[in-house]
Amino acid sequence: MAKTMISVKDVSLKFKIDSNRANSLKEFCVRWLKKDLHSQEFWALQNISFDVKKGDVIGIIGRNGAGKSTLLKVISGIMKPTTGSVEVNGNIVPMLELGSGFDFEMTGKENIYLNGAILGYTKEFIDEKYNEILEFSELGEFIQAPLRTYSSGMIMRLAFSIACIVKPEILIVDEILAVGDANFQEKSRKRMLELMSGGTTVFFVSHDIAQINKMCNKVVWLERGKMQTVGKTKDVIKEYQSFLGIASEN
Amino acid sequence: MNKVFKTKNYIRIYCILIIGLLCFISIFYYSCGEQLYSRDSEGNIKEFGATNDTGELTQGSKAEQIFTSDTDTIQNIGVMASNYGREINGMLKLSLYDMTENKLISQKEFSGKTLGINQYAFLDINTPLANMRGHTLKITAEGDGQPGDSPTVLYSVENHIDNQNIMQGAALNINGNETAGIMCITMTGRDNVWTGPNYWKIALLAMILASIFYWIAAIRYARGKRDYIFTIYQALVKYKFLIRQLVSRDFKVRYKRSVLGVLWSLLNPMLMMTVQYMVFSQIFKSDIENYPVYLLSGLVVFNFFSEGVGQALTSIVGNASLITKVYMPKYVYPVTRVLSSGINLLMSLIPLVLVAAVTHEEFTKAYIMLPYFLICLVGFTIGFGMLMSALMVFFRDVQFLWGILSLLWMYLTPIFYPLSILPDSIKNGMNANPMIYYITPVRDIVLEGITPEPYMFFQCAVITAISLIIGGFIFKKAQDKFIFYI
Repeated sequence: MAKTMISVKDVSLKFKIDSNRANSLKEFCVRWLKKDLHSQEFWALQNISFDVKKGDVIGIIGRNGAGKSTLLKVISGIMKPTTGSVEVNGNIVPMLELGSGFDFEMTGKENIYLNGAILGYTKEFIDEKYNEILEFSELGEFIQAPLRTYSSGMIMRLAFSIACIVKPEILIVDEILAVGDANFQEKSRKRMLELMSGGTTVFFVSHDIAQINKMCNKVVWLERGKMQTVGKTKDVIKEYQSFLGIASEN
Repeated sequence: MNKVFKTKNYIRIYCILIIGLLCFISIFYYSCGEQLYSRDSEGNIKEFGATNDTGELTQGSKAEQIFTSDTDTIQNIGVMASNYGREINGMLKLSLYDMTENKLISQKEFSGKTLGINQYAFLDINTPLANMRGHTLKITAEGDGQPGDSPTVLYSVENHIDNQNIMQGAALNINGNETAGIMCITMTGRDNVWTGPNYWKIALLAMILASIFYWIAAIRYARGKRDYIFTIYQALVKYKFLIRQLVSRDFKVRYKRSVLGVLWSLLNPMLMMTVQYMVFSQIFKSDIENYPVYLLSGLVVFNFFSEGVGQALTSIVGNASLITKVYMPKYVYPVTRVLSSGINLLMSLIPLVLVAAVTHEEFTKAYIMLPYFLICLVGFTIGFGMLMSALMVFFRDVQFLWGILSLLWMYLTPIFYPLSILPDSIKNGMNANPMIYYITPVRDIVLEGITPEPYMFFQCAVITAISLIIGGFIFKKAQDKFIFYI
């Protein structure tokens, strides 16, 4: 029996709708005087529960606005659920948006350390892996140049290299496999597969059903913040596709 | 998480704690030195002006002043005398008697030629006289000259000594006649302080208390209860590298692509000081010794505070892109911003020390205690910054409010004016201004060269703790909501 890496227990998350929120002190006071402080609420996630075992590759599918990215944010600890809890055993590397911790005034090398620290690596670890990261990113001499001189492809390559060089126990990926040129894309796909076969638990959001089909062994289907089904990839995808068929007919 | 915390770790932290405390206690003792045992007496008699003289003290005539000592140790005592500007041959003999113990303490003869007009003549007290509090003292002035060739001593009919303890049993006798008024005397001495003789007892008590608290916390934590000391310790260990990276990032990026770079950290306070010095020195020159250092020490402390809070303020809102994408404990953002301002604070100490050196301030051992107050200041700023950054997330008005508030706060803090120009009512209100408790000890160290009084150490620590607790508490309560508002 494989170890349970993540256990999502009855997670619900409530948003307040943006449009009528008091954003300034004046507005707040006026609203408070009018007793109009209630803003509209919206449940982005409702009663989500599932367990993830070590080595699972979980696909999360659903239509736009179904709460896929929100669920990933809750799992990676960025958002706290309104009710329910998420238990995580192991280190998470979220790849929600690559390179969000980069500073464009600093050099590639400095950014490796900075971003590494943000992802929770220790200094010794980065020292040890530095050459590997550099090699994987194919940046060569440019590593000593400030990031603002990089092309967007170079930045993405660097970000992917930093995130992937570790063997994270849990990797969270939000549709970011298209990084760099064809060559690098191939390389990063290989690296992902390597990680998956190496026992890393992967969360994976994609609209590309074929990709999900190929990579995942378990799929969670979200629909309007509620969990529709969770189960074997084939079954869920079949159900999802027939649902999409119905939905598009209406 | 508690499982990884072994007994070994508890003992190690305990050792660090105790050794740190011991070091602090010893350094504090070394830095304070004599100050722990005695301080300038409250019962000192300042020099005051005369209204009358006793008439010429010719052979056989004498003036006596009886009063009570209100100081523990007497170092210096003098009487105002005059030769009316004449070349006189008559001598003046001053004697100090301890009436309580019935003995002559000191006696000295002054040649009339050396006395001058209305100047104080001081008795020789070679070793300070200890245990004098409450003793009745008598100063006698006698002359031996001819009429027209003798000095005089002066007295005042207006009462110039407010201290009732000194005036107890006070009497002025001129040639045996009791006279209204008081002889112009001056006396300086020191009072004993209880901290000195009891210092090691207090230190021991502090260590024992710290140990008890520590082990109670440790036992609670080991049983799986939450305990802030260990939670904070673990967070520090875990996020040490991240915080260091972010601080160095802030610092590197701040002066990137500027020609003078890091020099701005030094230039900024210098230029500020120069401008304010030019403007205000004319007004406050007479009130403050060494105005440049007075000004700069206030500026350095306050600038750090206002800059640190200003930086922390935007730390959550400004890092929105990061907060929504990577998990990090959120306090890391304000804390790193304040710490990188802290580097600036360290840099701005350089001009302060330079100016102090140029204006011939002495570098005493009191400087060892400067880091204590600076660390407290950083702590205070972190607490306040956390509070403001949390508020900022919900109300963006806070940044504009802080602009006004920090300006107002600056004017309400005696940075470029002396505290003494304020009326008493406002002076009392000043005690509510936390910055006072950081600026005053820093000035004590830099300007006076003395270690601040022990109670200032305590005040500083308490205010820092209050700021951290309130700031931390509100931040913690609010942090889960941040993501919905940024």
